[in-house]
Amino acid sequence: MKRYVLARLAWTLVATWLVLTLTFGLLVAAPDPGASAYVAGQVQEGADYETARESYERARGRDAPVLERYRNYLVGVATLDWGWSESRSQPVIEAIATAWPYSVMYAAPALLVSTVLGVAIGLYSATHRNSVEDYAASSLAFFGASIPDFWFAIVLLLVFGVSLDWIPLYFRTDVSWVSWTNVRQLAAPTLVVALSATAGEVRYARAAALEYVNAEFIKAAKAKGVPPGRRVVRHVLRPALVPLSTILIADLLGVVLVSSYLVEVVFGIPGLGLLSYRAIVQGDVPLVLATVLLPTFVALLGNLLQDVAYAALDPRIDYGGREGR
Amino acid sequence: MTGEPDGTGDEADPDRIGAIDWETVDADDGGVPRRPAAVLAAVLGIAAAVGYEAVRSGGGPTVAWPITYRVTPLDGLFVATLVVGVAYGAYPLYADPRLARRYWARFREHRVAVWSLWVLAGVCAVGVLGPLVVAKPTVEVAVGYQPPAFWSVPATVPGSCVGPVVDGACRGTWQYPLGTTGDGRGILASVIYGTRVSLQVGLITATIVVLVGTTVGTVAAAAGGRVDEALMRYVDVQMTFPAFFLYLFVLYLFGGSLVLLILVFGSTSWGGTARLVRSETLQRREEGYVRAARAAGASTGWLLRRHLVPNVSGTVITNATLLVPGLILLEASFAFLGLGDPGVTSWGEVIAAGRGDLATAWWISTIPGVALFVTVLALNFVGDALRDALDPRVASGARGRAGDRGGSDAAERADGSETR
Amino acid sequence: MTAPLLSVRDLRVHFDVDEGVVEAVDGVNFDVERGATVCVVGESGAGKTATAESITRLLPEPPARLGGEVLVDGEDTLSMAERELRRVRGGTVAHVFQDPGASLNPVYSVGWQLREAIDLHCDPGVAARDRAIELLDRVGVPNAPVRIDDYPHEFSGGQQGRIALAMALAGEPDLLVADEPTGALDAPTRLSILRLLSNLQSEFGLGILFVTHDLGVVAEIGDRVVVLHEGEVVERGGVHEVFESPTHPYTRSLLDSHPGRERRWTDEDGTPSDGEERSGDSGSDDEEGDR
Repeated sequence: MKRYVLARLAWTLVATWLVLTLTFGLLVAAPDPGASAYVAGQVQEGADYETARESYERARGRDAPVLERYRNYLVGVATLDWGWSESRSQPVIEAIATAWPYSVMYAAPALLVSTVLGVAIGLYSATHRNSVEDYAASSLAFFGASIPDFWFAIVLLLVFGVSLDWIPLYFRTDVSWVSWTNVRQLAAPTLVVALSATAGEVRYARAAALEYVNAEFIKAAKAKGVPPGRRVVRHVLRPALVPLSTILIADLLGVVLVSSYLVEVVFGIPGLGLLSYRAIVQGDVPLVLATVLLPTFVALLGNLLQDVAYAALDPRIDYGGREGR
Repeated sequence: MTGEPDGTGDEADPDRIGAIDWETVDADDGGVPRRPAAVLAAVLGIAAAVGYEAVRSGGGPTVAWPITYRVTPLDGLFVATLVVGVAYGAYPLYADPRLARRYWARFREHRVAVWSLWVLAGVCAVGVLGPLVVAKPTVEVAVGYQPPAFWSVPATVPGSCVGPVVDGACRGTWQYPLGTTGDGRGILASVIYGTRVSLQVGLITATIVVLVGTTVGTVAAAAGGRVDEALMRYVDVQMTFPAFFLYLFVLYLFGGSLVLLILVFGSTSWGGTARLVRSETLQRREEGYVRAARAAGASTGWLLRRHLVPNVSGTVITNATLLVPGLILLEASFAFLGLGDPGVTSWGEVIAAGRGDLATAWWISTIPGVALFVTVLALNFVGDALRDALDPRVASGARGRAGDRGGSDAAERADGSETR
Repeated sequence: MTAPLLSVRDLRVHFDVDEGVVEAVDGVNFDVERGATVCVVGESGAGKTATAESITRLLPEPPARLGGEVLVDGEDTLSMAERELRRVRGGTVAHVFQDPGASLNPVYSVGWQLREAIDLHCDPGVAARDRAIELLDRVGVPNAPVRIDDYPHEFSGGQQGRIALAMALAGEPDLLVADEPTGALDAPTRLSILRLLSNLQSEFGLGILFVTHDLGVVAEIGDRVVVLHEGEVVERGGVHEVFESPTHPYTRSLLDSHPGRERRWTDEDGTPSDGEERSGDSGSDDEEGDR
């Protein structure tokens, strides 16, 4: 088991390195979106085009040989020196530090709710197949998975904000985090993220549990006289957690990361997603890069946790089982 | 083992063994397989045509009637996709009507999926034929913010009202049945052209994913050993990354264009399909009919083509169908964020355009979203039903209620064994 | 005369499926006495499993519908309340299933699963772990005190069969219902499990209801046999009598398809029929094929 964990840890590091290399490669290969903006501004002020270009490249460090830039890049990321954000006039790392609490504020509750709710609904569905509740749950899962997050957010704003005035149209950062106003303005974003996440969770939980509901050992437990409640929890849920854990953490996290990005843009919540969006609009390359890398790292970490959980939960796993995943 | 046709005429039932023309079967012993060759020829032909068109001097429209239109590489890709789809999806059903009927009977059990299929047929029709009939939405600020035909807004909202102004309220007209955006583009036209974009992204990418994924999966399963290991490690890498953010980065750096979108999505989303194909092939390789064929002298290529791939194709098709809605949502999300193709009208882009005017012009953001939602929902329903319909191992009666396994004896009975 | 341990009266099991109703068991009657082994035989689909699983109502009740009476120690399980039933399950009537590996939960240790059964049916004062080790030892799993904490997948097929037996016996039942528990095992393992079963039966005074389609097993351990065909009992009696002189044509064909038997029995009108010795020409396996 320990060997397995170490192997997955090593793998995560390799994957991290790959991501960094890939993004670096893209940066080098692509025309710098910030360049034209800067150069245009300089030229307007009377500077010569070529000189403007060169000074930009120098400032950005793009005049150095590729390998050196690569090294600087890697070192920079590792030491948390993620560059300077032109659009915000602050170090990138500071911008991120200010933004992430806003993301967590609604994403964490959403994640929690959807995990618990999703598993519970999925389990119930699997053990009460073809009942009314089962169909309702399946329909909910379908709708939740099909609805475009950003559109749903807009519709919620329209209905509950514009028409009913139950939620504010603009996000305010000057309210205390523990206040009714804050809850009101976080309700819709949390709902959107939770819906997507729960939908996926319900589908998977139901499928995972279904595999076990009809398993022989469930019948054996019933034959032993185990009461139904205990059967579901101890004998269905616990083994089902094994395949479930393969999506519980990583995939769910993936859904939440994407969902929250879109949600923040719509509701104007100054979290990481909105930070990224604004950076894109304003051509702030270092900030865009950082806000792309960060979720990627989080996802990789999630993957690692998930692999470890999978190994911990399934006594049949020895090391590196790709089979059955 | 040649049977004798019995005396009931020469048009014996083709299902009867006596009616099989063994000479033709024996003659078709390999060589160049016909269908892939035909498809390849068609695709090359399309590529040549498109290439010629792209290089042709003048840059004028390809056709002038019924509408002025210039064929682009994207269109070529789209047609190629349709060719592949017909050759590998529709043709087998046509060639084996019994199988097609069986699939359809099972599919029909899911009523919602059948409705969804009609919806999708409509969507396809709109996407393919719509742009040929309806003019492309053009910017015309003077007619911005027109309300839909069934709605009215205070006359202050639009710059100038196309319809009648009654009591200070501007009413919608049939000229713009679903209203217009802020810069005067018709919503209906935008939705129609947006349908085509979504179709293109969804279908072309899905085709690429299926082709690449199936190839990699079968190669990995057939080759085994080092090759398998290497391929699967690569797939592991590919699947670990959250694709959304990397796409974001790529689109940001290189600018959004549909072709880029399709290529990027297509070249990075096939991992799941490859894994699926590999595991299914490995499973079925051990099954009786494969061993029997091998014992009868079949080569690996023959086995793959004739036995393994067709058996796995059901899963692959389901997998592909369930990929498409995700791809469409992805494209819409990027268009919403402004990272889509600026030259095309996409649903996501229109939704984004209306975001600032929710209070005054709600229809801009809402209506295209309905189209998006309905399409994605329909695709999900159909994909789910396909999964049930195409799995050859689940016998028809044993699903549904009896699938709860009321004792192995009864389930066996419910399978349809007629002898009592 | 003491009442039989198990008394099945006019048992009917019907399944409601999409295509209609499947009558898996259609009026079955038989008894099992204490200390006796009754074998239920028949081909696949005859209703054997449905019968066995109805005794403690293990079938999911929609779509299954049960009718008739199943008297365990005089009490009808078909009309019992759920709580009563749970006490009977494992405590009075225990089950062993066809694939012992599949009937063991893969994520819990063998000891955990044994203790679960013990805790459900024995006095709380009983040291559950010790008793579990004792059980494991009694069924012949070597090195029990160490292996008690191992997981099911760490045991061989034969050992899993023994563990399944141990789990069944944990609640000190009076009746053991075994549904083809040796079907998945090879011949020598099968024999040792059957011997174990025999010993356990004499030691604990168990009644055994053994469902199988393997006549060899019946000959080995059965006292009485009940022949099922399409949900009905077509013949019943002592094993020797039925095997020597089967009266029902179906029983005869069942016996016929068992290879290597010298067929010799009397027809209804008393004339002995002299069959040639069949030297295993009817197929390569032991089982009656689907007919």
